[in-house]
Amino acid sequence: MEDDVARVLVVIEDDADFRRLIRITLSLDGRIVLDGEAANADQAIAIARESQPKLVILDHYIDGTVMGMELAPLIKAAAPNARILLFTTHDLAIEAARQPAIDRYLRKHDLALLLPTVCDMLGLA
Amino acid sequence: MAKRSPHLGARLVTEVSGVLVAAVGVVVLGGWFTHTERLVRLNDTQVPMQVNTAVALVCLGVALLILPIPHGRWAALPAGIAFVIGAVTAAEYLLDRSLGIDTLVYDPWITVGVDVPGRMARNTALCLAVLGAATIALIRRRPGRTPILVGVASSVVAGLVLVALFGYASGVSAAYTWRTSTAMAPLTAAALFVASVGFGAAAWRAEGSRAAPRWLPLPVAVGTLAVTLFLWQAVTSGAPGRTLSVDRAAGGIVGIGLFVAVLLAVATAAGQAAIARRRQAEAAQGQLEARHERDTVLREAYAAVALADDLATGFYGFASAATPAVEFDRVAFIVIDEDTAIVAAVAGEAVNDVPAGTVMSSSDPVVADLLHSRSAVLVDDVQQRYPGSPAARAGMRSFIATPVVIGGTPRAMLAVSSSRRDVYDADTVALVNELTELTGGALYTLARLDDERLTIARLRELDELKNEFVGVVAHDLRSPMTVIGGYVDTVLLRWDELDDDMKRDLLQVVSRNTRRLSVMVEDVLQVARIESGDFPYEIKPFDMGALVTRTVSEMNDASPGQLVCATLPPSLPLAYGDEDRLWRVLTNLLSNAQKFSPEGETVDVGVVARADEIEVSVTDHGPGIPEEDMPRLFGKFSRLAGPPGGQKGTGLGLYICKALVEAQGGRISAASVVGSGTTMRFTVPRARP
Repeated sequence: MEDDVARVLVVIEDDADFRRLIRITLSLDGRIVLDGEAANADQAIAIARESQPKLVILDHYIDGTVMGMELAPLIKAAAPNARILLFTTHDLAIEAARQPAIDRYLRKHDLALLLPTVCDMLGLA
Repeated sequence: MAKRSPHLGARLVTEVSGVLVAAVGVVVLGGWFTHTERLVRLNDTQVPMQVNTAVALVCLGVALLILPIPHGRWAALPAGIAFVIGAVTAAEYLLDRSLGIDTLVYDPWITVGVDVPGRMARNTALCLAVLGAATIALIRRRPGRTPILVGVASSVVAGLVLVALFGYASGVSAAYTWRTSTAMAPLTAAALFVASVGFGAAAWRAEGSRAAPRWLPLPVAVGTLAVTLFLWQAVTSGAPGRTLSVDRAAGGIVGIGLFVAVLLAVATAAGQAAIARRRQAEAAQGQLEARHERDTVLREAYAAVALADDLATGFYGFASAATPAVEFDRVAFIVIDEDTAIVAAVAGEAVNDVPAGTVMSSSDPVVADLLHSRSAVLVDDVQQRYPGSPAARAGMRSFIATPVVIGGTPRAMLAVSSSRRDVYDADTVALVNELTELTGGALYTLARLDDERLTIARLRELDELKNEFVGVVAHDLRSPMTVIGGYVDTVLLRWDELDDDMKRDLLQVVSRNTRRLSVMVEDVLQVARIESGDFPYEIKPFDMGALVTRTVSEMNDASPGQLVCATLPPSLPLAYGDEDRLWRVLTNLLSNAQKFSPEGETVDVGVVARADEIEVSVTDHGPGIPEEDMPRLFGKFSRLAGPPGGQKGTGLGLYICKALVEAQGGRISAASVVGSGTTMRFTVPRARP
């Protein structure tokens, strides 16, 4: 059973409501376990280091001076095995492609694609 | 640029001869009174200088000393004494009887070589009378002939005493005795010669020009003729019986004398003409050089202004170019705009007295005079002409201001000033005028260009601010929209899987975010209306206590978890403002306070009536606002740290509150202690009873 459980860390800046929406969306698949939520960069790094997640869902606009795009390499450093999904409102396709720490990029209005993308990144059939 | 006095040399000669003459007189008087024989005559065979002569010489010396100074008319007194002594003695000779003047002062103890003890020689008396009278004439200063007369009198005296001195040198006693046994003493002759030179110089100086007076050939000729006359006198009276040889000698002297007189007069005139021509040539050369220097200044000033890109650079170059030609402590370019005058640029040592950017009123006396006259204004002493004016307070004394007239209107002025008075003359004013005409228009254009650049920079800044505003607003509006879209999609996609409670719960999130969105849109619209000035207020007396009570109960109903407690005084005077707008302010402050308050802590509202206003305070017990964020608190989109895990607004709330409160004549402020909470206060004027 242990192998079936995938650990996912969610970082969302703006909005508790949106964090809840991600939680509801991912809860459809019982194999995915949300291991932590962070509202800003410091929390995100601390949780990543402690729980060593397989996947981090990262928003670009978050509280504080560090943007999600800049936070990605720091998270990679804290949790080297984590894959990072940049999940944002804004069109950052080009910027995301240029940042090696970011593995995938998805826009928030494509919410329906979130679960398939996460499953794909975690290697779940 | 000190101007040299035109008759400094003549004055020096007058003063020095005065000192010498007076000194001789004093020494001889000392000799008489101390019985020191060597001081009254140089050897035992000589006739001594008489006491009266010595007194008269002292008087003439003093007169020469006094003449050139501002109170020169007092020289009439000693000159008068000398004249009286000379004239009375001459009268004694004419009447052949004593008038009691000879021993009036002193009874002499040497009576060698005199007819009457104490009486001076008749030629000495004549000289003293002539010089005394000439001095008085010079002081009365009838315009025209007086200096000529004094010059001629001096040359006659000089001729007379030169012959006397020649007599002593050659042993011809008749040259100094004039057919009596009383002789002119050699010391007297020498002193009178010095005096005649002094009075000649005084006459020269009286003409007021550095060049020799035009009448110089006349005294030269007269002096030569006097020498001739007195030599002839000596020759004819020296020999007891007239002989052919004496007649021949006398005739020769007269012939040669006349010839020499004419020759000297012609030579003098020719010399004067040559000097005058040279002076003229020098003056023309000087004028040419001055014109060249002026042209250089104008050209360099024009080049500096024409090639400059901004006013500061152009004006610095202008001032540097003008420095060799115009003395100034500061030079300023002042732009005149309707009813103000602004110092646009300033250069010179004293720039800090009136720095660039200083705004003057057009009722400033100097500006007003310039606008009135529309031509150059020259002030010799600002302290005297405009006492107490800003220019006087800045320490200016001499001052030139010239207008820059563009299209018939004075648009600017150039002001040159010095802290010394009486520095500028008509030439400087003309030069400054020329500089202004040449560069004023270009300087004004540079000043305008600077203004335009500033305006463009300001507009650019505003544009950037607006873009930033649009960006921030777009981002902030997007967040609730994304949430709404996501929740609605989720509910629709999983309609069958979700139970009713879950659906209601999700739709409540949608509802909350819709409200949030509409508040944000309302904020943005309100800011736009406030900034465009299209925002009406309905100001009238209202009950602030009732407003606070109502708003607090609304807030408590909406979020029961966060209690708001109001403390009201038993009675409150009526406030004067727009109740609906103030409800908005209070709601905003209360919801902020609730957002930042920890769960379970109350928010306190207080109301206090003051003499002319009513103050409302809202206090939370939240984390407080750091000191460095305070200045930005009421700014547009002051995106400070939000409440932990809370939702962000547009950051426009407090900006709107400030605008609303201030538009009604109130004030809004914040006080905060990090870790213990924040108190926001706003005031509203009291209604007049």
